[in-house]
Amino acid sequence: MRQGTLCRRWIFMDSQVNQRKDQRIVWLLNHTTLREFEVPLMRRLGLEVYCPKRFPRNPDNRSASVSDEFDSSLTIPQGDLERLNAFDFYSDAYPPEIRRILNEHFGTVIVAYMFPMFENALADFRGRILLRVFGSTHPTYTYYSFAREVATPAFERRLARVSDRFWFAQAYPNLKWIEPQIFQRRSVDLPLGLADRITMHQGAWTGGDRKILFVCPEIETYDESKQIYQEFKESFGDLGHVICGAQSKPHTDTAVLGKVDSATYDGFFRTCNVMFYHSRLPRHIHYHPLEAICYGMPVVYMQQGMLGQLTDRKLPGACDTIQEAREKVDRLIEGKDKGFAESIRESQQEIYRLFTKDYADALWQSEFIEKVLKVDIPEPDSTRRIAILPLASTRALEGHCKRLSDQIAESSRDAKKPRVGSLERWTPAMDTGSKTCFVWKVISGESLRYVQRLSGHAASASESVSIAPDDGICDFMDCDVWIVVGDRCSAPIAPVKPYLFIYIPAEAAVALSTTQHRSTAISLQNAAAVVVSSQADREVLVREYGISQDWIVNIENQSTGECLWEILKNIP
Amino acid sequence: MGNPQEHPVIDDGIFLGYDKNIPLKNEGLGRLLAFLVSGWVRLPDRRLTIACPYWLVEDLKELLADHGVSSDRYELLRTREPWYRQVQLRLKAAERAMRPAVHRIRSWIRGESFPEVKDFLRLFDAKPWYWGFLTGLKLVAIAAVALWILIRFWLVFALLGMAFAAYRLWRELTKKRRIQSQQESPKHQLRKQRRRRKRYAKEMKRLVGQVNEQQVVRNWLIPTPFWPEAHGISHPKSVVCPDLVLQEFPLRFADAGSEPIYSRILHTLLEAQRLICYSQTVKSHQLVHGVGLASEQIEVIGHGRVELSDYLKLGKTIPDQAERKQIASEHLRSYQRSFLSSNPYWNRFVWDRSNFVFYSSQARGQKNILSLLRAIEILRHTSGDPIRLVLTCERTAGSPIDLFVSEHRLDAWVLFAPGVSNQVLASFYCLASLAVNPTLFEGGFPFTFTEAYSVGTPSLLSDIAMVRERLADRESETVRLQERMLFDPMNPLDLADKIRWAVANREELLTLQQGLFETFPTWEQVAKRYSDSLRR
Repeated sequence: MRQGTLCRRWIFMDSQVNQRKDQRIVWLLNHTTLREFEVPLMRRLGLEVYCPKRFPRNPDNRSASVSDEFDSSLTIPQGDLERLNAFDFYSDAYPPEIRRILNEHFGTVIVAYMFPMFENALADFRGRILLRVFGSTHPTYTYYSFAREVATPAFERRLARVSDRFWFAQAYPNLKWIEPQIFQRRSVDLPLGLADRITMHQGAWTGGDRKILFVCPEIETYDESKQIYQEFKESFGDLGHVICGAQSKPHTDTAVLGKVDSATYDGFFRTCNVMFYHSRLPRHIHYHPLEAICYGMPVVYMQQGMLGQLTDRKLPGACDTIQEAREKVDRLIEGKDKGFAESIRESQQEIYRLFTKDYADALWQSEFIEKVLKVDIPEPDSTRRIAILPLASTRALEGHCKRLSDQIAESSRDAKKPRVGSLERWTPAMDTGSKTCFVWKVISGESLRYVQRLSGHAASASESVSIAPDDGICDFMDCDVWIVVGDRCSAPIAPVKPYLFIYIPAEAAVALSTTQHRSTAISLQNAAAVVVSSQADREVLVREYGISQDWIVNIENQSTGECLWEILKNIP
Repeated sequence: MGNPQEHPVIDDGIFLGYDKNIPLKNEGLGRLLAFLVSGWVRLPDRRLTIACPYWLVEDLKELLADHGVSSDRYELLRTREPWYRQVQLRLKAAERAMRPAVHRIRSWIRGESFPEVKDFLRLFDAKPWYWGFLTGLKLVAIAAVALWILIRFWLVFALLGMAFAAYRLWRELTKKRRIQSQQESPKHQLRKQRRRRKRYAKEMKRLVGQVNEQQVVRNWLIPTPFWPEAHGISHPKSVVCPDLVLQEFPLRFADAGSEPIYSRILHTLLEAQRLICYSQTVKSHQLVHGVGLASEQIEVIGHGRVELSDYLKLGKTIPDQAERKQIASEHLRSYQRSFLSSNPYWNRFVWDRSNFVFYSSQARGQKNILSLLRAIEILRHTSGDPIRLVLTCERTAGSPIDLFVSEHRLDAWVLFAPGVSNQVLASFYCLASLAVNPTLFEGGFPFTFTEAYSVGTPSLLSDIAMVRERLADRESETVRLQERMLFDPMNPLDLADKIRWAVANREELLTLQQGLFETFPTWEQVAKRYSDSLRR
């Protein structure tokens, strides 16, 4: 039962458990060829690896797939594994249960540069976070600047908050140089390599087919691909060639073969006399030229591109201009200039070495194991400050807030006594030690955006106006988490702090206005968890507000304080 | 000075890039700068150069002079005024010189006074006689030339006169419309802002160019993170980041219009190689975990002690506490006569025989003045002897503070005394029963503690990380001191209790705080640390 596991008693983990946790990695990527190399490498280093089972099916993920072959390596409870397998890390924010599983069992997350997945990891994971990067294809954006464009306003602060447990895990050493200090300083070199199913064909090239092997996927889908295709056709179209790469939209050119089966693809790598690799991008490389180099096929490529950057000198296959490339391809395609082909093949070994298992194993050992996994991650702060904020000024709700405060104080041991808000007017006779007077104030959408940037917390849904507590002093922003108590609000609660929504229906059932209903729905959606105390309330939330079951925690028949503390401590 | 070979003079620089119309004197950072400079110029082997745009020169000189630093004790590397500004200044100077004569002539023309024939008669009584003769000759010559110019160029003067009259007429006619359109359109405001930004950027570029051209000062301190332009300085430099309070209380700073300022601060910090801040809390909590800077880049240099006793002495002798109180009392009586005469509650307040607590601060949310007011209100209802409050912030109409004071009728209990002189400030501190600082956040240990102690007044401080980190060095005294001196800033009841105790046991608290006060370095020592850190 979920509630049972969620409300487990807080047990201080012994060092053995911590060690086990440090050895478990969540690998949030789904690239097939990368997985075939990188996950076995981590297994060889003695690590347990979890690979996600759901990813968005779109052209961006054409090289992605799912594999459960590494699940057996995991020593986490089967139920937790099943929950992870059912969760979409790419699109969804972490519900309470996923936060618990990740933070309880895993010490490290390696995450692809995809949004909101990367930002969700920054927001909710308490361990080491490695941003796995392979070079951007964009001419002006850096990883950091693009993230600022696409992520929430809270991105900068979220990254800063984890800056001593974050690493920029670059596959090539030159990726960091265009990034800001925070990435440069936190970079580790984790090279990628070729999977066994490719290296088993090492040196299998024989040549003989007077064709250029060219790879250009999605010609009709992306303008850049189309331009690359057209440039290739202009320069080499008169020579024999085949063009591979998945095409979501069919192409009329007979040379464009689309995605071919692996035997045919393998055949091309063995027999085509030359591969032309077009890329001039200094910080991005595709897999196919590396595969060709492994097979031993001569590759003619542009010196300005990443392949040219990998070596200190210009190799025989490298070209500064497209004319030079044409000349070299002319010499190779007929298969007559054996000496030239051989000099290219031989020089390519310099590149091949950088993608071998031995090279990668050694660097992963020195960079990943020594520099990342051996860094101690601070224990979660158990002295967090919690604010309890009623949504209405009723005696019943104030009573609830007071009880909650006492229950949390009892269960949370080191935590500071929660600060309980009160919507009453301040008087000198009131017990100001136990409650803080405040009102809910309205803030505009524009201001909210800025506040989120400053506070480092944001949620996906936001409205043109929202409400936030105003105590005339610090507005409860010095607290780590808010607990909002009630059943309705006049405008959505501003997502400027992580908050739990404790749903307590009003005693006198007054119907909600349309605005209140909508605002309450948004506030519930943006909460880090929604807590109910009866099955009936849970059903109301699911039926009336469309809240996912995963986000609702029923504390019926449980110790409220412990249960809440269990959720609160997993909110970083 | 000794042998220059043994003690070579080291040149340090401070780069200032405040924009026009920033009141340096009123800014906390301005005061801090003055303390730092006052320490720096006293260092025997350091020579300080301050680089600033031309518009800052006068304000800066005035600020430093207020803190006892005359302009010959530091070098100034400043930009030149643009030609139009120079013309404007010369015209102003000429106008100032002519003003008395013009005034006299105007009043004579209006018939309000007689021509000062006496002035001419004085020429006959002049001694020696030829001085009067020569002066008279000079006056006749000037009058002749003026007359000749008037006759020769009468047409030009007539046209100028007509143009001036037309201009005055046009101003008169459009007066109403001008008053109505005083609220500028957003488009106009934007254009104005753009122009201002452009002018600022140009001047900064010029200043940075001058800093780079000279090769004498090779280490520069940038005392705030507001000026990313300073990254253009090619010499080694350290940026000081006092704090990022807006990250702590974002809902108090929710004006989206100020976001560009935040972006500029972030830009400066992220580009900086070396930084200085005033407390470990700011370093770790804000710069490392709030901005993402590396811990190794940042050095923590705490504040020095701020002594106000110099403002409460007559001549050079140092008065004892009783005498100091008399002087303070005189200052406050004078202040009362000048500024509080129309305040029925405070114009006869007897400062040296009444209990009042004092808090010198601006009115910002995080300064937590509301909690202090609540504590005073609690004391009003529960305490026998009245304990009042003096604040140095403005009472802005409609602000939470203003509303609270009005709602609870606290005018007789709370005095707002903004913009006071250093003497009056020192006097308030000296005669207050206590200095209370309820702040929720500061860049470093609050100044108010040493300010108060230096004139014999103990302090109550809020229990915040910046205060605790300072106390952590003094473990032996900490428990007792903490118990007596610190209060929960969000709990007015606790604050009221602590005030009540401290007013009754003022001397005990003062004695407890002596050790803590003595741990504060002088500003000379602080400046030395800054100077050394520029070369680390």
